[in-house]
Amino acid sequence: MNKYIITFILMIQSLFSVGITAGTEIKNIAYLNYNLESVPFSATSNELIDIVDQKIDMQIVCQESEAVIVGVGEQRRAMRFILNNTGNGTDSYVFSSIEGDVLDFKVSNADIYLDNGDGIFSVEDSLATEIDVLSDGNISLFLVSDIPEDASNFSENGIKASSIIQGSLDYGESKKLENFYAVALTEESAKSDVCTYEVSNLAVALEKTAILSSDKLYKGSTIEYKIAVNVIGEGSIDNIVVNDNIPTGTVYVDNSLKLDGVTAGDFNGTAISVVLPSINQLKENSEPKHHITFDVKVQ
Amino acid sequence: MKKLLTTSALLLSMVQASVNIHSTSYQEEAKITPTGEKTKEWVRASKVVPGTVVRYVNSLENAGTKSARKLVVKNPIPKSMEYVENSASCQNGCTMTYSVDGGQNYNNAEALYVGVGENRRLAKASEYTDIQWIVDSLLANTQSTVEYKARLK
Repeated sequence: MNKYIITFILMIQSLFSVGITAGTEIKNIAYLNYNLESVPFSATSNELIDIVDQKIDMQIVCQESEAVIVGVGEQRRAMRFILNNTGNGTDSYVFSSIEGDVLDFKVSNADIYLDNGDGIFSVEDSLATEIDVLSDGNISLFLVSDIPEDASNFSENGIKASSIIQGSLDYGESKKLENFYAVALTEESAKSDVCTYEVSNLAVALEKTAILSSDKLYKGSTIEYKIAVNVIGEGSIDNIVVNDNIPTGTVYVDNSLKLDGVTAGDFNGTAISVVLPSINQLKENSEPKHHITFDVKVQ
Repeated sequence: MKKLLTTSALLLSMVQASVNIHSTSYQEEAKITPTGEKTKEWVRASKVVPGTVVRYVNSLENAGTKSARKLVVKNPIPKSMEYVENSASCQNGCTMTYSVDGGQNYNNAEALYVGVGENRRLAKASEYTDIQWIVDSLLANTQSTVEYKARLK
């Protein structure tokens, strides 16, 4: 089922321990007791110290449970991803946008943003450049793109996260950091995942008509406006809000705003606003689903 | 009395500590043989990351001229590591027991329990805190080893 609202599925990933922190000392000491001709003796081994090295590993996973529905020409449409540092030490990452295998259209102006923590893309999110992530920690990222006017069907797009520490190390290679080594345990120094944009074949059609109270308009004449709301296509649409400015030279007639004959919506002094219930369109080009009416008087 | 003390002192001076113990750690490393076959061998531990199995080998050396008797080696399992089940062994015969209470009590794996009342159950190998090896004897000028494996959490 298509949705106009981006549904951010917060895939709560179980916080699992990724191991003892890099740099930790592991000490082994053995103790010995023995007899020599019935005389007891004891000895202690050397203190054997191994330093825990840093395992470089990460995951990045698309958080959209289904395709992100977009309209042609839409701008700054977001997809959410979670990057998890599954290594046992702090790692630094840089990011780039990628395209998946399914590519019926190409997006433009793809940018990657760091979520401010609310899981919703907003102006408070910042461009993701180089980001440190603690061991066992995760960050939320958005891939934000513009949808071309000629878009259709599907487009897989995603984020590639590259470990700066691993850099060009191959699998199994290591390099000295502090008092320990960082060991590359990923086949590549980067991980990626994609989500899918789906272009909606749905559209909302508004048809506005005016009914005059008289053949000519005079001061005090009433104009009844009627807005028919229809959905073209097949699917469902949520969160439709219809706004309409009151024409210059007229005043809104109090309490005249109605949705399907029932008082509804708001008037803010200059415009009316009505929130419509979800529309579930089973077949194309059916009759209008809702009617909004309101009256104004000529001043 | 003075004569007795002098005699004891002489005896002790004749029997001197002669057994040393030395601990070494190893980890498995993948190798490719000249014929291209993949194999693994134990090398000195160097890159220990979470999940790595470390093999600890305690070497006993009797550098003296007399046999040592009833050698008891106790090895607390390092913090952050979990004992690998059935990995403890010894070179020349021994009795092995384990502890789950920091070395206060030792028992066979089949008789080692944790919990109380309804929660009492056989301890998992990963819950062992200490290992004990008892070696009957170590002849003069000989060496032997006891060892175990543990996985880094």
